[in-house]
Amino acid sequence: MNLQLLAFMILSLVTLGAAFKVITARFITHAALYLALSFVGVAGLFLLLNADFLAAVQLLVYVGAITTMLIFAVMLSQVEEIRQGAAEEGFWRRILSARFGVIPLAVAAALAGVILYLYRFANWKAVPVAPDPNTTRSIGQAMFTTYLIPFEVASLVLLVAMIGAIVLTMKKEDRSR
Amino acid sequence: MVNFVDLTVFLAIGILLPAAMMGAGALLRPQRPGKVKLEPYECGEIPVGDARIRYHIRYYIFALVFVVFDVETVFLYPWAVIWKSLGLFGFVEMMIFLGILVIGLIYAWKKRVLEWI
Amino acid sequence: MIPLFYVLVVSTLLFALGVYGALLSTNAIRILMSIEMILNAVNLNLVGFGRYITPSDPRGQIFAIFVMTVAAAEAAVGLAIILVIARRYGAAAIDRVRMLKG
Repeated sequence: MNLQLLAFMILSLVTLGAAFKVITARFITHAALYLALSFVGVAGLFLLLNADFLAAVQLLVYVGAITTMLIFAVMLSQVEEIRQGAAEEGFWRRILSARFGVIPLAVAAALAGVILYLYRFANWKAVPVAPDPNTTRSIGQAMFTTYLIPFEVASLVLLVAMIGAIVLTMKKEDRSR
Repeated sequence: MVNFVDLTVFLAIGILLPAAMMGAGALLRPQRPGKVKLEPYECGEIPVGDARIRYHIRYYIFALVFVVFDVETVFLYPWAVIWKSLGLFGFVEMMIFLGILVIGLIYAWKKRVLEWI
Repeated sequence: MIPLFYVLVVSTLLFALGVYGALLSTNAIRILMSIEMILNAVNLNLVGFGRYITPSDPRGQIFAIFVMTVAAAEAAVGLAIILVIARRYGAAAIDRVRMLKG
């Protein structure tokens, strides 16, 4: 057993275990923190796959920004849950119920099964070229020449998201003033 | 390839050091909790009310603006690595990108989102 | 070197967990978290393929960066919608909203 495979196993276990806890955690705040742990696990997997810049981006965007925003939203909207210490109504009953619990499980399992089954027929040839050690440079080189238009569109997407969210959340504010 | 040995040693020290410090502190200190000691700390003031109130929605906008400019950094970083070889073209490109995002900032400014009331 | 298939298995399991959570949960924020998990699985797939099929070309990673950008934008707008609904109808009503216009 080599060291890399061991690291891969540990990181995948952390990622998948934390992802499972996101679904089953009683409190939504705990779920958000488990989600951050799952993101950290994925960042570790990126490191193993030689995408070091992407691992840093994962930590910056997902763990740093998106989790923060999720926790802010929990603070702003789910006060009743936090105050009373009440979880989602009958959560475990829901998981075990025939209609609301089993159907999602069947759908998810069927999807995973089909995907894994199809992978068996795929005929990908792994290229035995050593990857570029300077990933940031090569990403920049391609991003600002070949992927120029998507790059500019990304800023438009961010602009629209920012304006949209401000319009949505500030609307009621103005009326009350 | 990333040097995994360094990373693992760094991680191990990073976890062990605070754990050892906090553990030693827990073992050595006398345990005498009182009502005053267990009060939440509010910069020396006497705490008022419950901490679990509904927060103002303004906080969310700050988080939102932070997220947008956080993602912007992701694009700035590879640009900064190779901007010399890109020349003027790359500079103009990035200025357009930043200009579009500054429109959002100006919008937030005009809507008085960034002010604290 | 880790076999490509292992990476694909992990990403498929993460994807399935995300689908399960999104379908199971009644809490809108938890559904959003599950969707983020699905996007993460997609990113893992992209990076895995990029590492093994086109190692000299960073296009898998670039695509993953764009996915992250869109995920951040989506989370921002999605959470804003959830907040507005929670303010207007109360946090418990998130799964009972049927009208598009408030």
